[in-house]
Amino acid sequence: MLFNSLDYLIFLPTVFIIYWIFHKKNQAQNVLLLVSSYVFYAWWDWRFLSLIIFSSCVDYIVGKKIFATDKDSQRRNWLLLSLAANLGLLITFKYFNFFTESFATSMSLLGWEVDPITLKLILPVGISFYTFQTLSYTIDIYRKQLKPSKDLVAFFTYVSFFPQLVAGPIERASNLLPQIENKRTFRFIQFKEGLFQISIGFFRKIVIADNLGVYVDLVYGNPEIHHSLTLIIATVFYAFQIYYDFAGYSDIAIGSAKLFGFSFNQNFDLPYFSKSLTIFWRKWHKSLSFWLRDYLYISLGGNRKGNLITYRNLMLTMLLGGLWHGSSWNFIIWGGIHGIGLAIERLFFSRSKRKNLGVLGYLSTFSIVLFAWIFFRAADLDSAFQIIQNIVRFDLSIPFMEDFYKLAIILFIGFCFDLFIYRIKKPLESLGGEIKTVPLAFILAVIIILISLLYSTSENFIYFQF
Amino acid sequence: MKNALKLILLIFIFSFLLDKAVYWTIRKMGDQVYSGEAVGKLNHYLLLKDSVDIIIFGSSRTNHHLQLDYFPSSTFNMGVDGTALVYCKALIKLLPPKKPQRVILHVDTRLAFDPEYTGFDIEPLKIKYHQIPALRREIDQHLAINPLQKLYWTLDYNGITLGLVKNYLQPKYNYQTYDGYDPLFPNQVQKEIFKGILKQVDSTQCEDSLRLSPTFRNSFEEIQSFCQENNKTLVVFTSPLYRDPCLEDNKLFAEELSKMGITYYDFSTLFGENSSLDYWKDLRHLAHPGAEIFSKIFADTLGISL
Repeated sequence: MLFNSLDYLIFLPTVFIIYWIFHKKNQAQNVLLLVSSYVFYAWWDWRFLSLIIFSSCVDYIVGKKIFATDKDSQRRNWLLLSLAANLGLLITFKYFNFFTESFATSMSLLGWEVDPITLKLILPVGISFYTFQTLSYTIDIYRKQLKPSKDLVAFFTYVSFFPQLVAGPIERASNLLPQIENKRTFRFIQFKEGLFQISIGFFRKIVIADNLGVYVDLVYGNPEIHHSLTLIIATVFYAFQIYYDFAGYSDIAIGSAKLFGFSFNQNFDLPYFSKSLTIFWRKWHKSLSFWLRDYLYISLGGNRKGNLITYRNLMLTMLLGGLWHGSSWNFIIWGGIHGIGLAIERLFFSRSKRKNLGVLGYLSTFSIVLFAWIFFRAADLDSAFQIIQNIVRFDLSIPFMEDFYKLAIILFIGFCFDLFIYRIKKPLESLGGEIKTVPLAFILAVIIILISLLYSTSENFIYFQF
Repeated sequence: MKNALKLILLIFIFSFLLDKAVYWTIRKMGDQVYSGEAVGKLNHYLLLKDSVDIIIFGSSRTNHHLQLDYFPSSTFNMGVDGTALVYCKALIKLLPPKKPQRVILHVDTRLAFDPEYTGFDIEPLKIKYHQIPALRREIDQHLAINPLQKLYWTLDYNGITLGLVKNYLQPKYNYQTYDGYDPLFPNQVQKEIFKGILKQVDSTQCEDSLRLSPTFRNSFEEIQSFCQENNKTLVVFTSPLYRDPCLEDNKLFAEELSKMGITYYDFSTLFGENSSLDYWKDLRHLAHPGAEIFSKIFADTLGISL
């Protein structure tokens, strides 16, 4: 089920009402959340529910087994089982064809013709997200940072909780699981925060991101016919499209969870207001970047084993982070650009008093991010290089102007709102709770009317494909 | 929980009232807009539909193909990009009863045999959903509109508000001198793109079993009956294409209209593939020089050429 569908507009209030009717029965609430989460997922394709149930079963059992033994070898074996099961599913469904095709291509470069074995598989929505979520549970238990859940329903709900099931945020068990296991109480302030964030999320997604997407698709669909200025504009628009698309999704997810009394961690913190790439990655898709930091970068040794190993770890983390987004060389290059950028920053700033370029840092960071987005958005490597080639021709003839002014106005509204949040230094997550009831109702009514007037035809959330 | 209910109730009340206030404001502005395709051209049509003698309906292949210099002065080109038969039907049925008028209707024969065509092209008329009951009935007949539109009327103006405001503040053209024809003058880049397209192999697959779509059949029956009852002369035509690899549908379409007793002219192969590239913007659209030639031939065919 898509957040930006009428189905969800009916689904959410229905579950909300039934949920709070059972406010005195925590277990009944959890059963309801579990069933409704499975319904939410099955709306897309019920067959893939089996994968979520399988992952949940494996990690529920493995978690208990790891906790039950003190022997390191046994604990490691159980962890490896969980890694093999979860990553095995992920690799089969997401990367199998990419690896076999890449293998065949590299063989043909060496003169051996190999027919790649490919599987006709649909990528199950959300598999990258819930796989990482369940893995974090098992790894935390292995690291003795978490105790396994004794409550089967609570654990299964943790894995499949519908607001974050298909595109995150990737919530750690240490944050979400105790909230599911313990009794929730309805708090009006949290309700206000939730409603406000949901409405901002809808505006960001279906007004800003989807409108910008129309222009971006037109230009990136035929990059060979467009000149420098058009391609630059389209890339800037894409930078904001993907930001508002994913931040909007996260807002709806976090806001929806709040309606049920849950607090998720912030996923986006105005990432384009960053003076360095290091700061950017503390603000962009935080649940993924912190996951990669804690479970990959630190596992590889982090920055504890000297400079060279640190740079290697940075590169590996970013390359795998890129690959996490999709089975394509474009994503790997995208991750590589960020990896190199982070390594260079570390090289220049780690020993100096200065940690970034100051105001210039905003521009340099955005430029690097923008350049990397070309690879992220382009249909394939050839298109990406074609776009870069056309941009560096610096042909400044009149750009493609289809709906340009409309898009500029819509983007301006979104940017001003972000600037406002940046200036008041308060997270969007808590903003709604600080507004009194009547003004909040009016603000939400204004947002509803703006959405009604400006929304664009529904597109899938970009991050669903990952 | 009481506070939550109060908040929800207030949001409903405020948004409902605000919606109506915004709707009426935009509607007031919109009614004074006569330039731009989405709102202006429609308003222009509503303004002069009772007075003109000849109206040409159709898609972009009407809008960009028929230059009215060869037609009587009381002619209006109501071609609108992205529209098709059902959109035209809805507008035709707004014509004044009993006034003798000539209705010239463009048809894309490819769409006529598309079983999936249900009249989605009527969507741009939703801006008049709460304003003209006859259009509301047509829209409800062909489109599953967003149920929220019954509650939030501003949805009528979804996607066009900023353009409407722009045309209200700064009209795109003087509508009093506008006859509905929008010439195409392809620039050098567009010409290069077209040449590139021509180099590609045409992979069009022609359908074997052709059946006139129910939407087309029903719409034609409605249009014909409206015209017969209201003193309108109906003429149907298909305008030129650079190439039409599937001619069977044109033949069959001509037979179907002939059975219904409707006059039909097929110009799809008028120029042919060897015609000058200056006549074309792309495979389906004539540039101004081509449109000028076609308009003269068409007016001569109808016997109304000036």
